[in-house]
Amino acid sequence: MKKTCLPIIVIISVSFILQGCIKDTCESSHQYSYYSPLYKTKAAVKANIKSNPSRQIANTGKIFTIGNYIFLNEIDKGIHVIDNSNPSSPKNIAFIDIPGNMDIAVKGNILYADVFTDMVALDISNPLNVTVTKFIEGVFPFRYWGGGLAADTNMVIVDWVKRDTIVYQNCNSMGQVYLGREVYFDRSQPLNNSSGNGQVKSSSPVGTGGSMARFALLNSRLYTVSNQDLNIFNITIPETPVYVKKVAVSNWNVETLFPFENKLFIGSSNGMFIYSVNSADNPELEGQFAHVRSCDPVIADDHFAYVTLSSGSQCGGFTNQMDVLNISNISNPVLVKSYPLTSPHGLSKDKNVLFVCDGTDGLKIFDASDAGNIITLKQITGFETYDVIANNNKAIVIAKDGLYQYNYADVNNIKLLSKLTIVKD
Amino acid sequence: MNKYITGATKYFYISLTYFLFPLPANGQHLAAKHSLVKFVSNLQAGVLIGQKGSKPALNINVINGLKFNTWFAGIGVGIDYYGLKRSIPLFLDIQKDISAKSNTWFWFADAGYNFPWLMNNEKMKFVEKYKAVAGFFYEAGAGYKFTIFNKTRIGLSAGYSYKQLKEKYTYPCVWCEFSIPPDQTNNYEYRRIAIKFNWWLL
Repeated sequence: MKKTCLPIIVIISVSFILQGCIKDTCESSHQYSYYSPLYKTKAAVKANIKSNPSRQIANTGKIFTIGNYIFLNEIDKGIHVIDNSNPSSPKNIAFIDIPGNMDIAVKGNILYADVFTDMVALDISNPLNVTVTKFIEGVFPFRYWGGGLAADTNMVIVDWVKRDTIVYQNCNSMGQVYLGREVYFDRSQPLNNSSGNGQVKSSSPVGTGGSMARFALLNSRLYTVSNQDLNIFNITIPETPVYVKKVAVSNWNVETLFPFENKLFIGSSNGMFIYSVNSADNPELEGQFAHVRSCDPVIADDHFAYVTLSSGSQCGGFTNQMDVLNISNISNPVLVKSYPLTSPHGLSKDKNVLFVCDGTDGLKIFDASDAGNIITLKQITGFETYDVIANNNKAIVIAKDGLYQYNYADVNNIKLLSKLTIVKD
Repeated sequence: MNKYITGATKYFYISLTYFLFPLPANGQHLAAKHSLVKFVSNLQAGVLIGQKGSKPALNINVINGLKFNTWFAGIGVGIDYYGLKRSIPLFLDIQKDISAKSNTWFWFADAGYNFPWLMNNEKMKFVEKYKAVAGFFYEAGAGYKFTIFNKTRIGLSAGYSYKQLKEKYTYPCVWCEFSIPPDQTNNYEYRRIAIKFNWWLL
């Protein structure tokens, strides 16, 4: 019996003694994709603002059309020049390297673009050989990048290099992983840019921007909006714009700017503001219409403003609809009707035909002859749309996978003319 | 479906079933035919004792294999309730008796994989793309065995046991514009003392 019990006692005793030596662990690994900035000197950046060979379209932003050309912003990188003399076969002919560029506007032969905190004016009379006519420094001081990066006085971020990393930590550590200041995380970047039919009588032909624009041309001024400011540039001599001044807007979170007649329609995440520019350098707030928190590109005609409200992005909110406002009395816009939508972004109107980019629901075309009873004419699906410019029976649509062009001379038989493919990074 | 099961596949399944869940009579039959090589079933039931403060957990295994002199090699499968996650260990097992006597010390070593078999309350909540992934498993130790009947032995063993499981998931994307939640992996490593009662059918 003693012989039998001894091994059992040994086994159990050793087991309990060894228990003190063991420990469970749990390690949590987080796989991040992040972007790290590549810097260049300002002098090198300025020297490279010219027509370079065309590039694959990848991450589109604002769009501007003038004559037979489409100028398409590649966010933070520059501008694609597209020869659209034959809309059935547009040709990507050049790329203007403008690091930090997000907004553009064209008047005559002069293109205005932001270069991070600066503004550049370019002579585009020959799109294959554009030249810088003026460079104004420090007029957009509020450009920031993810991760708290701000502009440097001498260096410019010209590109972002995608990197993958795995960070390890104990499963019980609930703190956020910090990858350092000079990175920002991978994020899908829907266009925060509105386009509108900014057709204004002027001595020089003025291009047409989308409803997501933040640059607007009106008479002899270029107006730009930042988060809370309206900047005014005198472009009486288009090739040498002169910075006039900055006017504080009545609201934060300004997103879009749409010019119509002598008014500026400013879309913010909390409402729409109408400024009169009868005195070009002294805009005055004439009216406003508050709405729930959301993104809100806006366009207008003589009597109505069309505001699309969308949620699910940095604008917050939970509303997805189009509000039609009666602006006959500018000082008191009145809601005519709200139309439910899925994820509306840019919109455009040509006579009574209204185009709305409704995100994953594609492009919706409405008969807007009666603002109180807007009727769906057609919905084109199969793509995710962001912005549209409709003009003279031709609609240019930016979608996630390409730049589409449609002929809507017969709204009951809208024809796809062409598609320029966008290849995402 | 059956028509796609080839002769080789059928043989493999029959062999695997036979190996993992044999009838005791088969062992006797083989033993009679081959005096040197015996088919043996080893049933194990015991507790897994982890670090101080952790709950002891139940562990049951069945190992079937061949015994040659004092050596034994087999394939085992079981159920392991230790830690946050229930799992099914599938492993290769080697045992060596220290002597050929009827009562003897022995050592053993196992290596294989732990496959998660999670109960609902063990799965992570409020996450997306959740997936529990198999992890490495090994165990090694020693024990003492007694012969109680001609064809039956019992014994007690103790050893160090390592179990690894992984969970892959991501948190829902709420403010995607500012930060996309990363793909995350939790790598659990459990280190236990395994004390088991053993029953060998020869």
